[in-house]
Amino acid sequence: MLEIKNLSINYVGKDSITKAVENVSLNISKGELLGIVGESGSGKTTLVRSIMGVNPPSAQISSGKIIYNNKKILDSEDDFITGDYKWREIAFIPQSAMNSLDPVYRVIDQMREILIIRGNYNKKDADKKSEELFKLVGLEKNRLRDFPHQFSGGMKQRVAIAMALALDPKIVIADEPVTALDVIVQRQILDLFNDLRDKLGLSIILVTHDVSVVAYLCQNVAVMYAGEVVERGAVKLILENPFHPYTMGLNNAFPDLHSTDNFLVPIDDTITNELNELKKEYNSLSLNNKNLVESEKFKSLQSKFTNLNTSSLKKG
Amino acid sequence: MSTILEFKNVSKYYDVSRNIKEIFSGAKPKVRAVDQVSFKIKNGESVGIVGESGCGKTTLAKLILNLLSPTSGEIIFENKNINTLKNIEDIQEFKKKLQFVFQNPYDALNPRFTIRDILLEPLKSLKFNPSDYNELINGVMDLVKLNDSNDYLNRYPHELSGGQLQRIVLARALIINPIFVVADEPVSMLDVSVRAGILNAFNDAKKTMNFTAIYISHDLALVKYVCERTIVMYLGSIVEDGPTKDVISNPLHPYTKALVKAVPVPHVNQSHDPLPILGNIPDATKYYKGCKFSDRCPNPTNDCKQQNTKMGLVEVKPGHWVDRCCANCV
Repeated sequence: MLEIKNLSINYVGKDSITKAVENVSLNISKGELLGIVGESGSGKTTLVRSIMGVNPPSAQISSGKIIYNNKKILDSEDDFITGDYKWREIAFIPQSAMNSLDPVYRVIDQMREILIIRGNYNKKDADKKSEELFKLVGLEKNRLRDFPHQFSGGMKQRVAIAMALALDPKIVIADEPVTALDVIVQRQILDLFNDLRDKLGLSIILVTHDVSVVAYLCQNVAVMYAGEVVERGAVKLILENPFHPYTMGLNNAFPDLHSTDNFLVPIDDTITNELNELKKEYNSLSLNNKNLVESEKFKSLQSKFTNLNTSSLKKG
Repeated sequence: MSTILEFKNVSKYYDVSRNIKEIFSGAKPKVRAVDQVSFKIKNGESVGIVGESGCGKTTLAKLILNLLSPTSGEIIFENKNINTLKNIEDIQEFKKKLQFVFQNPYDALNPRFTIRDILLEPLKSLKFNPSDYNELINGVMDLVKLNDSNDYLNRYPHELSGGQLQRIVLARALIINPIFVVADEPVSMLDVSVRAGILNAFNDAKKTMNFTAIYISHDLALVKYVCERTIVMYLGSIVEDGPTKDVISNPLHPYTKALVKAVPVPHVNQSHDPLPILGNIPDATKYYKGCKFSDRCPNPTNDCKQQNTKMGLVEVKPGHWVDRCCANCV
């Protein structure tokens, strides 16, 4: 349904270029729950913003394209592509969406703005649709006339979700939708996403730095590191049998409430330095020989993670 | 082990602005941020305080540090009531012994100071001997593992990552060798994969320096990693208090049960059952006649709303306490 092909995005500064997204290819199909996991700075927000075309002007698409239902929506070679699909087919819930609600307008006015201007509803139908949307996300319809500050964090997030669903999109992109929320509210929002996918056949792209959230909700996951997708596949496979040393590192860095182990392995500078070395080596291989699996360095990093000596880490 | 900190029936209430109806009816709605809380902390313990937004955990932390005065009750640190300290020397002594690690590393450090200046600040204001400065600075940088070849000391905060900044915040708290450290959500602003490094640093520091620690968080998984004892707060009151392992594997209070079920884990086959808790975060100004948790409890009894419950915890198992009104349902 949505195809991202060999996308590379650079941020162009005064005298420097930062490679934010490097040669990323991803697909998402109908009804799929895809997680994109990576730390701050891995390029995940830049990647998903490019789907919606909302990156700042300094972001330059250096190569690649994005295709939705066989129509190009982004191409490094074209200057301008139609924005019709925005919000109507693909909607976006930005990071800290609760902070992006306009504080001086009632929620119903903000819903009307989307429905009337972008959706061609008339006022009466727009209000009726808003009531349906609120019901869908679990909010009381009598709250429509409230201001954003009268809602709690979790409720504001639901408002943001309702706004994203306003024009019945097929794909919703949620960038860190539960990061600022308590664990109980977080669970309620994640369950809501699942529910919406069941009821509406929505595809959801969930961007997060929290692997546990992806483990709870998503079927497939793409792991990003330094602008690249280093591992991609079914969540079950990736979590239980990670291949790339970064994914292994990511798994070990997460505290598990119920495990009896009591150690965490941080992704610290030594690991990132080694990964950077690995990346340089990979890039220096000739085009015919880009078989990462064969690289000695890769093998040694892998064994480093699989043979973690837990007792030496506990340091009793 | 002796008791180092004791809270005796401490409350902190805030008046809220009233609407016309309330002014005329004489009602005085209050936010009961901390509501008749009592507990004891022993020397050297690591205690986690867990609860959702608005349960009063940060207010509790501020009360411990004497940044706020309680509306009622006594706070006793090393056998002295901290709110009645009048002597400048006593107050300074108190400040030397307690330190705080903040939630937001970007806000907690002065952006115009170098890292060295940031670490010197507490030493200068508490009048340490200047000849000790370098040794103390190097010692604490070793402790938080920022002692590699990079010269952090001459850098400014904007040149460091979030994880590194939080280590500096920890270093600054530890440089004066406190005996009591309160950390308020120290890792929640950091990426999940970076948190491990900070938690490890915290644990290592505690083993080396042997201070007592209170660790505040809404994330049970992290508290489990750092603390041997966990206190669960709900709407200003303590609802459960016990060894962390027991609180997680065998929660007694219905709120703790919901909290434990809600924590996502990095495993694939997690239960997707609905949480055993109803409704949303409660209104902190509402006055509850009986059990505060009754309107969110999945299995309330008739007694729950009636009892004019005296606040308090009851020891259901050795060392494991639960709120009196929910003890019956255990």
